[in-house]
Amino acid sequence: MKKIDNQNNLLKNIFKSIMVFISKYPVPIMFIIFLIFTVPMSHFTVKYLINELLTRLARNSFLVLSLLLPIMAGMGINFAMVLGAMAGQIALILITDWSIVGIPGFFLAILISLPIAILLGFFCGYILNRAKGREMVTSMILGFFMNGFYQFVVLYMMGPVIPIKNKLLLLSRGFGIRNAINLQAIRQCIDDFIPITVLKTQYDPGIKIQITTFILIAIFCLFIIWFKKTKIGQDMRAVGQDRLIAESSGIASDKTRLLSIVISTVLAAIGQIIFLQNIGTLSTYNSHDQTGQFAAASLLVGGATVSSANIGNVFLGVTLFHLMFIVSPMAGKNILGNAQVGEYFRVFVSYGIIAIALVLYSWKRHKEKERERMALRQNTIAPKTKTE
Amino acid sequence: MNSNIKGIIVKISAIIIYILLIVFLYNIGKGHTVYIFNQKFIASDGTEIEALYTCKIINPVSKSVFVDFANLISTKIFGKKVYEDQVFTFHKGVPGQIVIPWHKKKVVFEFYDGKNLVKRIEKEVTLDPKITQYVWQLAALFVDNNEWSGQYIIQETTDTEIIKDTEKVTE
Repeated sequence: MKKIDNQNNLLKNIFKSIMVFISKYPVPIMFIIFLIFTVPMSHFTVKYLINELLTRLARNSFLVLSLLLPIMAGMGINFAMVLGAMAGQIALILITDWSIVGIPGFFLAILISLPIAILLGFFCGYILNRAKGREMVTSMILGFFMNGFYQFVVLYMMGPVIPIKNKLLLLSRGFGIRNAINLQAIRQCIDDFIPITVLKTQYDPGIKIQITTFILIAIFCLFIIWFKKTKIGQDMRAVGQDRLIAESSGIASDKTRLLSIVISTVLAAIGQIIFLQNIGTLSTYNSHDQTGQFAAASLLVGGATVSSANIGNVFLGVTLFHLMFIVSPMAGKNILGNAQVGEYFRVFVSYGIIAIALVLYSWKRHKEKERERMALRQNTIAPKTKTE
Repeated sequence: MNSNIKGIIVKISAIIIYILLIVFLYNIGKGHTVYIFNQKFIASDGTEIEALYTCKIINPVSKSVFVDFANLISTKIFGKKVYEDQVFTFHKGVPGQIVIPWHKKKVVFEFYDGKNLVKRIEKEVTLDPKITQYVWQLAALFVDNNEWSGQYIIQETTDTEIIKDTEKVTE
C-alpha cells in the first residue's frame, strides 16, 4: 500500500512540475508543438533549415537583444526601437550617397547613426518617463508618430536641405529618396568578412556561417552580462523591480529609465544596420515598420515576459519564431495547396503571439495580486479569530 | 584638477575622436558607383545596339581584408587561393550597379552567350573618379579588342545623361 502511495505521490509531483513548467512557458511550448507538425510538412532538408536559421539568427539577434535593457529597467518591451532603426536607415542612405564601400562603410554608418539614435532615444525616454505604467503602448504610438517625421525627412528634406549627390537615389521630381535602395556597397560585408562554408559539395553550396556577425553578437551578449553587474545595471534592476523603493533608496529612477531607452535605441540602430547589410536592400519607407513587432514577438516566443527576459530567451525566440517563418509558407502549400495561407498564418501568428503573451502576463499579474490580497486578508482575519 | 574641467576635456576629446574617425572611415572607404546598363548601347552614329551577352566581372572588389590575407598566404604556401574571387554577374537586359573602391586592380571580364563563354579578357583597371564609369566592362573591351568592339562604340556620357537614360529604362 505504502509503495502504491509513494508511486502516486511521485506521479502527482511529476504532473505538478510539468504543469508548472507549462504555465511558466506556454508560448515556447505552443511553438514547439506547432513546429513538430509543420517542419516535416514543409519537406525542407535539415541542411537548408540550418542554413536559413543561421542567416536569420545573424540577421535578427542584435535587434532582439536591444530590447533587454528596457525590460530590465521595468519599462516593458521598447516598441520605440523603431526610432533606432530609422536612425540606422538614415545613416545607410547617407553612406550609399557618398559611395562608401565595405567594412569602412558599415562602421561609418554606425558612427553617423549614433548621434541621431542618442537624440531620438532621449526624446523617447523623456516621453516614456511621463507615461509611467503605460510605456509599451506609448512607445508603440511614438514609433508611429516618428514614422511621420522620418518620412518628412526622407521624402522632403533629402535633396533640398540634406544634400544628396547621387541623383539615382532621388525620386524623379528631384527630391525625396526612392522606395528601394541597393546597398550593394556594404552588402554582407560583415557576414562575409571571414567566409566559412561547411558541408560544401559540387552541387550544394553548403552551410554558410556568418562568423563575424556572431562574434559581434557574442560581444554584445558579454556587454549585457557585464552591464548587469555595473552600478548602472544594478540601478536598472532595482528600478525594474520596484521604482518607488529604488527612488527611496536614492536611485534616480527617471535618469536610469532614460538611460536604458537611449542605450536600447542606439543598439537598435546598430542592429538595423546589421540587419540591412545582410539583406542588401533598403526599403526606404517600410524596412523599419515591423522591426519592433518582429523583435518583440521573437523575444516573447522565447519565453520572455514584459517584466523579465534574458539572453537565452533571445536565441530560443529567434530560432523558434524564424523557423516558423521559414517553414509555414511551404507547410501551408503542402497541406492546403496554397502558400499564401502559410504567409497569412505567419503574419497572424507574429501579431497574435504578442497579444497572447500580453494577455497571459496581465492574467498572471491579476492572479498574483488576488493571491496577495487573499493572503493579506487571511493574515488580518487570523489574529482577530485568535482574540475572539 | 577640478573634476568638472576633467569631464569637459574628456567630452571634447571624445567629440574630436568621433569626427576624426568619421573622416578616416570616409577616406578609406570612399568608392565609385559604377552603373551597368547591360541593356542597350548607343553607337557613335546614334544607332542603338541591344546588349548581346551576359557579363561577369571577376574580382573588381575584394571580399574582405581577411580573405585577401588568407589568399596571399595560401598562394605563397600552396600555390592556390583558399577563397574564390568575387564575381558580379550582369545578365543581358538587366541593369545593375557596383560600388568599387578607387584602386588599380587586375580584373577579369567574361562574356557569355547563354551558358557558353564567348570572350575572356584580363585587364588592369585604374578607376578614376572623374570619368564616368558608365559601361565600364564594355569600355574595357573596347580598349583591348578593336575587331570586337566595332559594334560597341561607347558614347561619352555625363552623370545627368545617365540619369535620363535610367529613367527611360524604368519608365
